[in-house]
Amino acid sequence: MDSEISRLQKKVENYPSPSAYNRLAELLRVSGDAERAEAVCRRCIKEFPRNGQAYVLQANVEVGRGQRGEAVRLLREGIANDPRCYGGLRMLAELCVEDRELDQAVGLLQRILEFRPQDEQVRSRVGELQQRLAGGFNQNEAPKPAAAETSTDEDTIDLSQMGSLTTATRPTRRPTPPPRALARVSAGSAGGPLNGLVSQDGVRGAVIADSHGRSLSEQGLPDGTADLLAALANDVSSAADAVKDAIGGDKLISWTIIADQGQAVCYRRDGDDLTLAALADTSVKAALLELRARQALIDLGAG
Amino acid sequence: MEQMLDQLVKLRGVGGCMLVSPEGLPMASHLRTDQDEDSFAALVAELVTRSQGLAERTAIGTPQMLHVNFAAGAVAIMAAGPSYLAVIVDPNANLALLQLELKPFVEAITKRLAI
Repeated sequence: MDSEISRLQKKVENYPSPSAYNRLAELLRVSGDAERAEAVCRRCIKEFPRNGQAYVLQANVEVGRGQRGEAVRLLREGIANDPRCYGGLRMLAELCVEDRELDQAVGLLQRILEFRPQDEQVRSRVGELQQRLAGGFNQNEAPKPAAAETSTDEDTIDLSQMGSLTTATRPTRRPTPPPRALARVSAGSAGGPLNGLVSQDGVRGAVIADSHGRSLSEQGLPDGTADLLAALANDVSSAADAVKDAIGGDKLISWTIIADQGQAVCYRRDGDDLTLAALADTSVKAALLELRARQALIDLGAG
Repeated sequence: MEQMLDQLVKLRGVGGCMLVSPEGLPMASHLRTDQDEDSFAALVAELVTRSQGLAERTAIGTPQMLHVNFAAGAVAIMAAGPSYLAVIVDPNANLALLQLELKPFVEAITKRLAI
């Protein structure tokens, strides 16, 4: 990392650019050198005052030091100079939420929607905050996804620990599945559609969930795990949907997490709002797992 | 690092790539000009965070790779030292082959960042 820092330092000396400054500052911050990171941000802001990302980086440094007020000041200044600064608007909005200034947070997020109208996460967050403003639930509480009793980490906003953008979003809510699909799941809740999948060697269990991340049918999972897996899979799918929008992709079909002690796969069919999430050993081929998941949804009649 | 990514995007089936810090900021990138680097980096980091949460709570360990399939293409995300390498994959790519081809890049980036 040091060599990359040295290279970027030379680059900003010889060919200064906002992106080079931003990367240098971020690398310094990641390496724990907050002082130098701040110095780079200050210099960048001086040379490129309309580079909003530099304000966000410096605000992150300030949050890490517990200087929340200074972070807010920097973000406001950054947004004034770079009104389309996505990171700045999002981070400031979440700080406003923490301060219970929900109307201000909504205003900031709506500014993002003016130049990124298709941003589903921001749209979802605005809807959520407007619901809170309307008194839909206690303003002191963040809304929980289904089975949130066991997934509170995903709702925690901890800007100082993890950076604003990685923690400042909420899962996107998709429409409730039609009663027809729910009836099919109920009819198969004895495990019928999941039999073929779960009977495969190495498959630990699977769950069919609705668009809110609620478990509708499960098989093979330990007690309480089905709701958890359904909710967390819904969160991952929401985040994957956002990535899809950022790269101009088409609809999300599936995702696979390959970890050192197992893997998780989630398959979603377009139009039926049902997803199937499964856990398996690492020995199971991911492609085969996805194929079985797809087949299970077809057996269910959802596809 | 930029040179490595320049080489990486020359692989058959790669439509773009980015090295993302754990905080969701772009460290190096080779995306198409119409793609917003900052947003993509932030969203990749968020996806990784949520995947880590799922992996931890369902006892499947530490994620090594995340693969998201879209109707027209895919995104593969791999841990590369303290950062993440996100690769945009073309729809007609041979993913299994590409994963093998990406491995040396991940190792080289990890080594470079460890210096």
